[in-house]
Amino acid sequence: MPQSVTAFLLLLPVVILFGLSVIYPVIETIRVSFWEIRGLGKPHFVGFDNYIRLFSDPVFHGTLLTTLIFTLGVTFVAVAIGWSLALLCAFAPKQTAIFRLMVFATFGISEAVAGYIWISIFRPGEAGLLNGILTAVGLEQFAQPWLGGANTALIALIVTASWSAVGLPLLLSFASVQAIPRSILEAAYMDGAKPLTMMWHIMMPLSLPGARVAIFLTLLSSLRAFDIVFVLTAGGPARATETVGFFMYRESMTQFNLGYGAAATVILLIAVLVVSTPAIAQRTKGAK
Amino acid sequence: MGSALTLLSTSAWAQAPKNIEFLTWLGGPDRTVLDQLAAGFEAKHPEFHVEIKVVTSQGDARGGMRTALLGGERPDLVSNTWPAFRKELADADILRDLSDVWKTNGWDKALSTTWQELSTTDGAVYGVPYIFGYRSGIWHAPADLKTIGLQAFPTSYDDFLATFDPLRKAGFAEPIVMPAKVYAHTEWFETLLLRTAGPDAITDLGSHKITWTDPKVVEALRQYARLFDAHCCGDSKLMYATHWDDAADRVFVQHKANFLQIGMWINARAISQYHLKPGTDFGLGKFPALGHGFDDASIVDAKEILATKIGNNPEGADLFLDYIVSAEGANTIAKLGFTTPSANVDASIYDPVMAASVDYVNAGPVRFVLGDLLPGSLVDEYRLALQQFIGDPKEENIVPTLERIEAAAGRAY
Repeated sequence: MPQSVTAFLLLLPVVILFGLSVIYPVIETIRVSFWEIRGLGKPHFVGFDNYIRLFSDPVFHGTLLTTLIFTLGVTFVAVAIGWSLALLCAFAPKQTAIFRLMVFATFGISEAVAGYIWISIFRPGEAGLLNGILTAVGLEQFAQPWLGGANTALIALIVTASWSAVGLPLLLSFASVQAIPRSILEAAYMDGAKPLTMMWHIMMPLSLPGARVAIFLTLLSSLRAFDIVFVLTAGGPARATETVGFFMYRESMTQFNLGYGAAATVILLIAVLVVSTPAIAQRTKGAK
Repeated sequence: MGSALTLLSTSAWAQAPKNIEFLTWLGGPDRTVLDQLAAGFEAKHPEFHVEIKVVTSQGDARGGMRTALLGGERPDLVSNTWPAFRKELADADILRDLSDVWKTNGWDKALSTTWQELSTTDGAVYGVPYIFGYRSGIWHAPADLKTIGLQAFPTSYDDFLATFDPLRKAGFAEPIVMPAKVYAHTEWFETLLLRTAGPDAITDLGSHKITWTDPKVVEALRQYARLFDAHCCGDSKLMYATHWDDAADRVFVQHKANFLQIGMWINARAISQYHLKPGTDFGLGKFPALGHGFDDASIVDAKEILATKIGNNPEGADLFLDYIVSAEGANTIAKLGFTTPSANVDASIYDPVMAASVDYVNAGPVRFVLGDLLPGSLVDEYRLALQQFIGDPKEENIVPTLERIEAAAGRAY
């Protein structure tokens, strides 16, 4: 049997699965976005009306801004912390193995569970761990209902999502640092370079590929954030933390405006493609 | 041997109970009620088996129910708690009109005219209510009120507002704990609307026969603003961060707040979680009187079971509904800590708080929670607009708030 046919047959199950679980839902979502479907009522074809409504909807504008702030915030915080920890751990890789495992464990916890953990930390009054600690150390003037203010709720969301996400940048950056040839580091050491100098001039630039992958993956996952928003703030207070993912859910699942929710989904899909296509193209070019 | 086996299997097949498929989202104590009703019904009617199919969903369960029905489920019965959803199901030709069955089966004797009216959509009745909750009650710890010399719950709205300052001076940070994180901030507004504008205003607003900018609604929101003028609550951030369970903890565990208006599930929580005695450690006060002539009216929520025309066993479905309103069914519900609208219930089963809630509801006209009467796409906007109003509850924000809800209503109906 020709090799190409064998390859095709071996790939076929994955292609079918991919088609059914990804391609078909995407095509169906795009199709539904051109219809008005409210509850159990009869659907009506409305063409681009859902998109026109979406782009003139101030609520959706607010949602886009919130998503942008959330995505950039989580990416910056998670990658900065993960990368920094990776650089520090590189000086004592064996001794820091358990520490790295503990940090990576947060990545293995689902976002919904992370949300529930942090709700008890941000709970208002002394019932919340954070407020309880602040009160115990004499900083009760800083204790507040963290999830009740528009700004503090968004910061709380970014902190929670970053905590959940930091494990992956740490892992990728550490792998990148470990791939730096030892001879370069030894030569720098013998030339009298201090650890900070080595970190800044050698380890950081040479571990950039790993950090870039971490940025790309963290950007993608935080762009699609839903679970953590649903659990921690339900998009509140007063929609201040509503991301596009939550907007989609609210429109489609609670208000059952399926067509409108599908239009928001398509916008999110385009945003994900815009973010991921250049990165994938660059990696493909690099592989060639 | 072969003939014997064939005879046996034929006999078994002939005797297999007929399924009654029941679609619901309910879990926890509500599911226990359904399980026990099903068990009691099957003991009486062994020729039937009630198969309870649960739709898993979070938040508003209507999404899950719609998905199940659109996905091909063909139940004989469905759970419901939203009159607006009942209308949606009826308009989609899913429900079966039971108006005649109510009379022939005597359900109109077990359930009062009020309950029949509440269960009616466009002139037809599609099921029976089996649980109701008094939503105009104000939960409180009597001992905490005694610290300011209050021996009984205030009867007038002015007297109620006058308790806030003394309570604050006595060390309670929040006279009213207002859980504004999701929906519970609307509870106060809805009873104030009922008490100022009357039951017909709730019905008319729910069906958009009057607008949200109607003077009656404006006056209700003004009365709502009086709560905040009288320093009822914590700051807006605290209200936005509070859900009803946090609120209950602050009243009954931390004793940092005094009044909470939320559904009857506090009764079960106070007994099972806080281990409090109903009527002694916690009480349910009747919403204070405003003197507009509607002070005996109540907001209620209710759970009902609706019959469909898409199921395969309408006969079994009707028998199950009949069982639910019977004395046996009603007493099962009462023993599990819920109040039932069926007149066949033995009221001595109720604890003092449940009994009080039944008395309040029976004292006057009742209306469903306004949020449950509204179309799904309007409810969010309504709750959000009120959330933003309580952030700055000034007179000049009253009309703009209602105009915003009215704009959303224009799109929703």
